[in-house]
Amino acid sequence: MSQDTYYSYQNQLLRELNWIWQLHKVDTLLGLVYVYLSFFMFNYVGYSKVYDVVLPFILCSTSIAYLTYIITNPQVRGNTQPYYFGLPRDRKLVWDGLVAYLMLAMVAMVLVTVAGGIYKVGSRGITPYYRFHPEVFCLPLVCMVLVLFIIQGKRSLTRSIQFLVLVTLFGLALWQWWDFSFRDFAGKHNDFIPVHELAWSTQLGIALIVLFCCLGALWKLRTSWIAQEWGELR
Amino acid sequence: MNIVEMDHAVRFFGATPAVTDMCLAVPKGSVFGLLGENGSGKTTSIKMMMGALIPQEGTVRVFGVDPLTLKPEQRARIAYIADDMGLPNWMKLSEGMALHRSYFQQWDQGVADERLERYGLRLNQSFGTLSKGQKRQFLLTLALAQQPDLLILDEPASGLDVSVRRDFLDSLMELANTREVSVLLSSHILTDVERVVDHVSFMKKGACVRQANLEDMKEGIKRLCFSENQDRDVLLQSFSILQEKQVQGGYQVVVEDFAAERMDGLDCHVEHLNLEELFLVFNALSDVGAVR
Repeated sequence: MSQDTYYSYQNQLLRELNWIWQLHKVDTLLGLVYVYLSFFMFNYVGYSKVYDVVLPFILCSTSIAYLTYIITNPQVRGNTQPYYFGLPRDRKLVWDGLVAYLMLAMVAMVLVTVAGGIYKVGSRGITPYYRFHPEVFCLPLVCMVLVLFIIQGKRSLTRSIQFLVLVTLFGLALWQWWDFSFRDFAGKHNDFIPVHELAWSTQLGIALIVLFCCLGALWKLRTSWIAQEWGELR
Repeated sequence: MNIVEMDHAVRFFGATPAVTDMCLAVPKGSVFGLLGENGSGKTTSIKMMMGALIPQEGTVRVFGVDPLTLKPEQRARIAYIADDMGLPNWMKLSEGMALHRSYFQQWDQGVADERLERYGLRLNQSFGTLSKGQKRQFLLTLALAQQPDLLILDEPASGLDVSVRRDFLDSLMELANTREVSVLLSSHILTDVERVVDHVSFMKKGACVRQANLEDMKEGIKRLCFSENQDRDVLLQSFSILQEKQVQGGYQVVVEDFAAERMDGLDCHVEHLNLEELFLVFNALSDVGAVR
């Protein structure tokens, strides 16, 4: 095989994805187990099943945020450096590998969430929950930001996925308490159907805001990568 | 020809200076020692060479090009080992080697097998079960099997006991002698470095204070021990003095331009300096910046 073929873009990208998988397969599988278990963790008798649908989605976000952080910052664990800059990798390809990984992770997240939701509330029942609770679009983002903030801590405990799942569950409990205490929907009194369904335009607006925020974040990430401000080891 | 060059490279972390004015030239085929105290900027300099950190000012060149723009096939010619490197503890050596091997077209499995046998390592072992010395030996095995032209070692022998350290350095010597490999080595253990390097660079506060061929440096820098009767002015006219110290019954000076023929008429005896003593001399210098 010629040198050009051996180090071609496609071959290097495959090596990147293989490298990500080989190095993080344990955490990935652990994260998926937590997500799977979360479908069985709560059973709110008398309350809306929306939380059953949302919960795995949030935990997926936690897992993905965690994995993304340790993959993009390999020095966090101190033992992955050889694979970061001791190997013949180039920055652009690492960037492309990360984007490919994120896309795959997002697809997996959506599949797991939808499958889990359908399992819980049936294929017909899943849509209303998202219509009545557009904030579920925002919560994963909030969750990812919090995880990325928490994981910056120096202690190894705060860098473990178990700790992050625990913190996420605590946050969810707070969210539900706030929902049940101060919001007038999804309770026994209204037969678990919110009083006011949001207009489609409002829901669309929320979805678009979230989408543009994601696009903006990706664009910022790419420009800072090109400007070589990101991806450094210290 | 120089395989690595740094020209007034500067790197800050926030407001903290890590490398303030680094100039360096590693000749091809040399075993180069990068020496300095903790926090003098050795690791930051190495990371700039590897393209892991970007200099804010100045330039860095590896194989004549900016390390950030090295293509994978060029990068494959560089091997790197640092003291805090390793694989995940759960990973088998065979898995680690397979991952590593996939990135190198010129991988030599024969070299890897020979090294594994020599170090008594088994591929079905997990990385976490190895001792510190064995971990370093495995990383060296990976580095050597990739057939590098440049081997960069950042504190490779720290934390190892004497016999393992010596074996590790002997491997380096063997590599430098049998293949045309340039080695850049940073270490605190100067007795080890002295055994293997032929060029050295002393770093202080983020800058290179002196770089030279070690033998030339030892030839030129000597400690002269004088009695109190010796006229100091004569001495100052004769030599460029790096360090001066009062001792009982006289004084000692370290000069950097020693020549035996200039000793005529001077009442003194000459002492040779080893690398550790040279290091202490340069580390005590107050002026930082000029590379010679």
